[in-house]
Amino acid sequence: MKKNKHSILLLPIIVLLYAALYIATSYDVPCEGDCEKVSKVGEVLRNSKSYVYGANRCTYLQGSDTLCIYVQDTTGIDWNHLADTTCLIAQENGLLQQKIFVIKNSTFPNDTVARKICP
Amino acid sequence: MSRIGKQFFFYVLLPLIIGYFIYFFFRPDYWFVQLIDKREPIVTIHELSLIERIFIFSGSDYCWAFSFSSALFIWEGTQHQRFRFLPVIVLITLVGSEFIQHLLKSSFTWDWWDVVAALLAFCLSLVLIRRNYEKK
Repeated sequence: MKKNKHSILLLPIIVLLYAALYIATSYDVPCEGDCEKVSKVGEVLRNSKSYVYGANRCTYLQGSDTLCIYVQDTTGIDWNHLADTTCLIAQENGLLQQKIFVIKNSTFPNDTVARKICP
Repeated sequence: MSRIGKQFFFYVLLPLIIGYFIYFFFRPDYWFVQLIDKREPIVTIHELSLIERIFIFSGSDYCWAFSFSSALFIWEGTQHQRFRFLPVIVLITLVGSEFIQHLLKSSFTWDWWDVVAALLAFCLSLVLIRRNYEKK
């Protein structure tokens, strides 16, 4: 009976442990600050250019000034012009002096088709 | 290793480890992975096939659901009595944990494949563990 009493205590422990894991893995950290700005750049680019997949920081290191623009492998596009446009959109969203990398990610390894350091 | 020990390792611990590795290798943008290792994702979503997406985005949910169901069914096996409604409670918890994300969309991620993964995990766990106890 004593053993049974102790093992019944395991039940709330199991439930709490899995509840903690559930929250840790389900909760999406709100996209605020820098994340929100980068997300807006990606959204504007995607809405205006069908060949753009999106924009992300090239590294997750805090304070990164790199912007990776992922694009579809499309012919006849001036990728340097896209990098210029990205600079303008980034500036409009408060991201100054960014390093832009336009990347075709359908190839392995990924092909960087344009680079630019924004003023 | 005792029978309970084996079941605990294969049905509870191992799925959690596999689930964690899915996050660690394929979803390093998650905050709890970032605590350990800050790096870029190995893959980008656009490159993935449907099967790969399901594996990466619902595989870890499957592992969690399977491990959770198994932990409770193994716990039940250590008791002197069967809890008739335990499978129903586990099922409601698993499905509810996914549907609550649908209601709180702004803070959580929601996906139908996660619900399917949770249901499959529950069924497999029920067959592998609880049915075994019932036979004995």
